[in-house]
Amino acid sequence: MAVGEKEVRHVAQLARLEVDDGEVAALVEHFNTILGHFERLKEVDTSSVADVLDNAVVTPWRDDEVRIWENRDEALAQAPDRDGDYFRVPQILEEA
Amino acid sequence: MALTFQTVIGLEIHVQLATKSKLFCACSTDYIGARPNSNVCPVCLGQPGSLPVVNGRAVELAVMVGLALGSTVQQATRFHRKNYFYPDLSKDYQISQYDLPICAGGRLSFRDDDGVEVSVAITRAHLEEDAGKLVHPSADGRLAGARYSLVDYNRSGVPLLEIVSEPDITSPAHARRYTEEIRRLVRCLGVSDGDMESGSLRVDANISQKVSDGRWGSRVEIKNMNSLRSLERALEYEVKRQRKVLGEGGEIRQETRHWDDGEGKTRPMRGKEEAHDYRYFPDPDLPPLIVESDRLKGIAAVMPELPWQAESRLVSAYGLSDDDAKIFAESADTVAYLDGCIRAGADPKRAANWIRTEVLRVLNEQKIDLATFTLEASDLASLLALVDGGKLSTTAAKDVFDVMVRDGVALEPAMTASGVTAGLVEGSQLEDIADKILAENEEAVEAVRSGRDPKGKKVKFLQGLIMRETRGQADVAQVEDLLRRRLI
Repeated sequence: MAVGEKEVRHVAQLARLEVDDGEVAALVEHFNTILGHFERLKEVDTSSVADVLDNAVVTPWRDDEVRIWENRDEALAQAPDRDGDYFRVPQILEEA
Repeated sequence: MALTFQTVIGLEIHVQLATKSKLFCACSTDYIGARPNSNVCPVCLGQPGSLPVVNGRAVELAVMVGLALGSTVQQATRFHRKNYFYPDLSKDYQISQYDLPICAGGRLSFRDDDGVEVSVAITRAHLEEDAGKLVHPSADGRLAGARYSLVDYNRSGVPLLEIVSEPDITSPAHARRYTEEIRRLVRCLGVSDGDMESGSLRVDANISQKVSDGRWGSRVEIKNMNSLRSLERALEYEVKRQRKVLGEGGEIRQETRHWDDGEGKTRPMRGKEEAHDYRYFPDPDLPPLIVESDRLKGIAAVMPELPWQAESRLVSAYGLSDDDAKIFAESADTVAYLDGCIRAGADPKRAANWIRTEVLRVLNEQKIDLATFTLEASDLASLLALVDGGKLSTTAAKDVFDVMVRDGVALEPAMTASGVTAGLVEGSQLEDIADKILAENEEAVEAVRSGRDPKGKKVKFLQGLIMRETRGQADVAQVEDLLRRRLI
């Protein structure tokens, strides 16, 4: 599987990343190199490997207990923009 | 030939699970009225390096719903990342389930408003985390016009169970009934408070029309219906709109529409035209979620009686009417209270009547629930025993009931406080009361004695006053007899 300019622009759009025309060609190449590695991995015969769901590692269950995190002020202070207790973000898409 | 239409509806119901902490971190889920961004931590703020750990209670609650709906509880499932870019998601992905939901399949059956049995297949129910809340500080609180938005992540990570139905629902009224049944179920299981207004139960609807000429209208998704009434109204509006378009040979656009309750119409949501591209992939931070067989059996063993089971038991065991049984089965607390009353010796129908009219009235007036109601079921039973034994009239019993509730006291002191004694008011006690009433109503007495009461209206009037004075505790025949003797 290979991607082209169209896919790269689409992924950039989904991630809200600005990509100028000059960068697109380079990114197409990067993407395809990475995808190429996965294509190679696909060649490995995994028929004898257990399904991931049968893996010995399972997600642990946590007890339903509340713990208060003390550093929320610090987290807010590190925000690029805030308004009192709120994080402030640029305007969201307009409603009809 | 005129075209006919068939409505096809599928519902996605998001239920907030009643856990104390969030789905993947130990922050409190108590966000209503909380200071913005006070229940947050690196996990629900999406900080790099933080790792989610699943809340076992949330998994148990999801399993309970699955068992109640007859779903297959999938013992080995996993979490996926659903990627989309929106500020209410701190990580830019939502942890959800994709190919392996915790509950697969199932069915919900209920009676519609006409008593007809309806059965809706359940596709799946999966666990996922809630998003944060956006606040738009424009003049009217809406998005349009705001130059910036404010984000509160207190709700971010609250556990949700998304229950997805098959498109088996054929009318807006059935959609409402289905939602009522889901709400009743989650409340009864203690899985959620199921409150639509506050957002702990949220419904999205997919609705389309099948036309008799073979055409299928596109599926439209409706959002923002915050009550059962707006759900039904929104779908009724949409049925009309889609039928009109299709009837005129037009095409329905596949889109998401927003219900405006004030305007009473649905409107397309702009900016959502870009097809969703969620790029789901297994969350590498979360290994497979396993529900061990012992754990599953343990949950099944402590499942409470389901609303529809309670409903049929109340009818068959206690002889309640279908309507009464339905009212009781609305909440497990009410059923338990009725059971307690009957266990303490009360007659089932009388107990049901009293709870429905008196107890529920008080709960409504005081805006409390049975958990904080002071009158024990056994106390109500002892009061009703006096009524059953003919020792207390219904009127007197209601007075005593009010005092028991008001003062939080047992039967005996309540009777003393309201001046009621068990047993008939008769003999000299009744004579004293009659004499007092007659003395207070000389005019009526004179009229009767001088023959100016041919229809006996004034006698009835005096009799009524005496009965009222005894709080209905006198025998009517004795009162009539006494009056006849006194009024000669």
